[in-house]
Amino acid sequence: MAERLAGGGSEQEDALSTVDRLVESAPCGLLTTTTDGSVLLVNETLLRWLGRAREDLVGRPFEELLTTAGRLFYQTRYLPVLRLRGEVREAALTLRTADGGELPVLASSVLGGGAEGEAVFVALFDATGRRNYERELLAARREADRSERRVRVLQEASVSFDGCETEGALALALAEVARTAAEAASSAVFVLDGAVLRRVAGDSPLGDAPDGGPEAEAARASVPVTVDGPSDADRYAGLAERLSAGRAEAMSAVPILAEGEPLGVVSCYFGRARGVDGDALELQAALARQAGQVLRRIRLQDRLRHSSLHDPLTELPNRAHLQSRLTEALESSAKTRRPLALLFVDLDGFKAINDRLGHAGGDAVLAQVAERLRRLVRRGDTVARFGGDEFAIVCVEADAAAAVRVADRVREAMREPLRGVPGGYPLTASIGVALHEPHGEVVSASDLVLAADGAMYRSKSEGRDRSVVVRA
Amino acid sequence: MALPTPVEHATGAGVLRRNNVRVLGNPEGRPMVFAHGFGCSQEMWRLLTPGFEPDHRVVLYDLVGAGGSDLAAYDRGRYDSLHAHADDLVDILTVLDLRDAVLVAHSVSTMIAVLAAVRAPERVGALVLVGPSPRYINDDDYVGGFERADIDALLDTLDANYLGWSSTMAPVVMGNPDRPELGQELTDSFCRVDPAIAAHFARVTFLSDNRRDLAAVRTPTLVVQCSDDVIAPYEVGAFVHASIPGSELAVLSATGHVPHLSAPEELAAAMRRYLG
Repeated sequence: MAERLAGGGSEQEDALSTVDRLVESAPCGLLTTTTDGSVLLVNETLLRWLGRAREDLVGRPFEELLTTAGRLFYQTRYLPVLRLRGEVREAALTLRTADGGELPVLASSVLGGGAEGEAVFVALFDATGRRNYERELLAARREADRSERRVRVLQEASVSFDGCETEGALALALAEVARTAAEAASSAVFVLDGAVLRRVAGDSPLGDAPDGGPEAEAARASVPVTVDGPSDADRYAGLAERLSAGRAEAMSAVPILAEGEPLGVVSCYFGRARGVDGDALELQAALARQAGQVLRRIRLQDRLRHSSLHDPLTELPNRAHLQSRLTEALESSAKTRRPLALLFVDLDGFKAINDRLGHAGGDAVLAQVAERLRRLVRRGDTVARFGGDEFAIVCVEADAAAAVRVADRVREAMREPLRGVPGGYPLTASIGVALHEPHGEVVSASDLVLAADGAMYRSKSEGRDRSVVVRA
Repeated sequence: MALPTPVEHATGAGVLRRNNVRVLGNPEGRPMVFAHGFGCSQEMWRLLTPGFEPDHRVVLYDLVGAGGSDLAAYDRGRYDSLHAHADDLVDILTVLDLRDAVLVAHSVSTMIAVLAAVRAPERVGALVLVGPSPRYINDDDYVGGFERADIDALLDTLDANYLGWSSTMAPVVMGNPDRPELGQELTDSFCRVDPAIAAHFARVTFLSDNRRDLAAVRTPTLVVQCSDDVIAPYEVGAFVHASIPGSELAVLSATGHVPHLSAPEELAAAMRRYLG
């Protein structure tokens, strides 16, 4: 088809020239190449599309007609498939025309044998309309996919965050959802402890306390901070090296804010230099906002729980807390068959001090007493404020001798001078010790409290500043 | 999304399944592991490997995300750089307990092989890097051959090829080729492509920068450069050769980017000459 046959008179020649005309002016581009891709023959339609002369094309590599992106696809996908399968159907490629324009085509090729050896037969169809149409559809679908994904990620995060009861669980959930959403190699959550960030979940190439890096900046300035790659990382001393040692090149650090106050940072780390696009960063920030609100709620609940179980003046466990702690200790004592003691401590002389100093002064004395008690008990023991000037101490795994040793220390500590209390106002302690040695009988927390209380009254009536031990 | 746990794939069978590993050839021969490039699967090697089977233990595998690999293992965060692919390759070397292996790698896998050789030098005896490029995008004085816009256009092209809705309009005017030796026995996984993975892997392939990893290579390396390779031009091959200490450069007369398909004999000869 490269050379037009001269018009002839015979029917055969007429038929040939008809085929020839069909080939030359078919509504598609046709060409043949060698298996190496050099153009052998090309039809008029394609030459017209490209605005090129036949001699410009013949002998030249077909791929030179393609855009750069087209060549990438042609080399990495089109040619291997053609060589392996013997054909390629409807590959989307883009041709470059002589006037610098582009022509999207669908290309079908087959490897075929001929008299001159193997050749590639190629048909090209103008796909301009289709490409534009598909591009619009694709853009619309991308947009829809993106917003759908965003909503889904945020919904799933919301469910997952709301189910978290502790800071640790929330941090884990945030680290995982942020990593997945950002398609990051790793992620970590840091929480501000004073002015210092500490890692509480996930993995970071920067370790447990990333001082001076993007995380610190994100927390300080309450803005997201991104690092695109090693050269960008040079803004921070040593950051590129630390990232590289952890096989990361880029990162994004987003502050976890609640009511504008930074509580921590969630970071994503990427294995290669890459821009973190605005959408991804916004999503990370939205996740951090959600987590920030939940973190605030968890902390509020923790505070409420704490205050419901503690005495606000002394910060000691209150009566309700003592009750549950005592029940736990009894259960454990029944299991381990180890003894348990409950000390009831009533201050002697406190009323006089309170009357003299007023309530504020009395409160200060109670706080000092609480601090002394807290210091002198053994590890594992619990000091509680039972009410007024009454305190209780749960001594686990304590026999009579051990319980009396603690009681003696308490009485000694009470006799020490108190800040703000003038002379002539002595303070001592009357103590009742209820000792429980498990031998199969069931004793409740209330039984123990009652017994210790009774023993304490005996100490009072027997002259104060002493201990009485009873078994319960 | 859960990470594919290391434990799950720590078992040999898990690794072999994940990467669709096939072991052929002479079990007594020097191991030769073939790592395919961007765009296809281990099928890319089918014209080259038979010649090595009599005297080599030939190991073929698919990158996770390609061919017959376990697509469910493609965690986009983990595979967002070549590190995870390099770990996978080390896994394969370890599970098969290969020593003195020749890693024959093409295109993007050349950098995967470089990372693997640096991580497990005791298992890798030689590198054959076919059409390597540590960075495709031009950067100051460095000529990678492409601009960022070219890569974006490639992603567009992938979309057009993998995500088009319109049913096929173009008739195949030439009919089917009579090439029974090709195509017939190809499995369903032949060059299988998941559109979303292909687009993601294209970003990882063409936007990674592994230039700084080359200097750490201590493994004997042959750099194989084709003539007129638009994807990995001569300057890039020369850069890789200059950056890997003690490497050799072989320039083939074969053109294009895939000499194992266009000129398998010439490539095999160059490999044998180097490996001795």
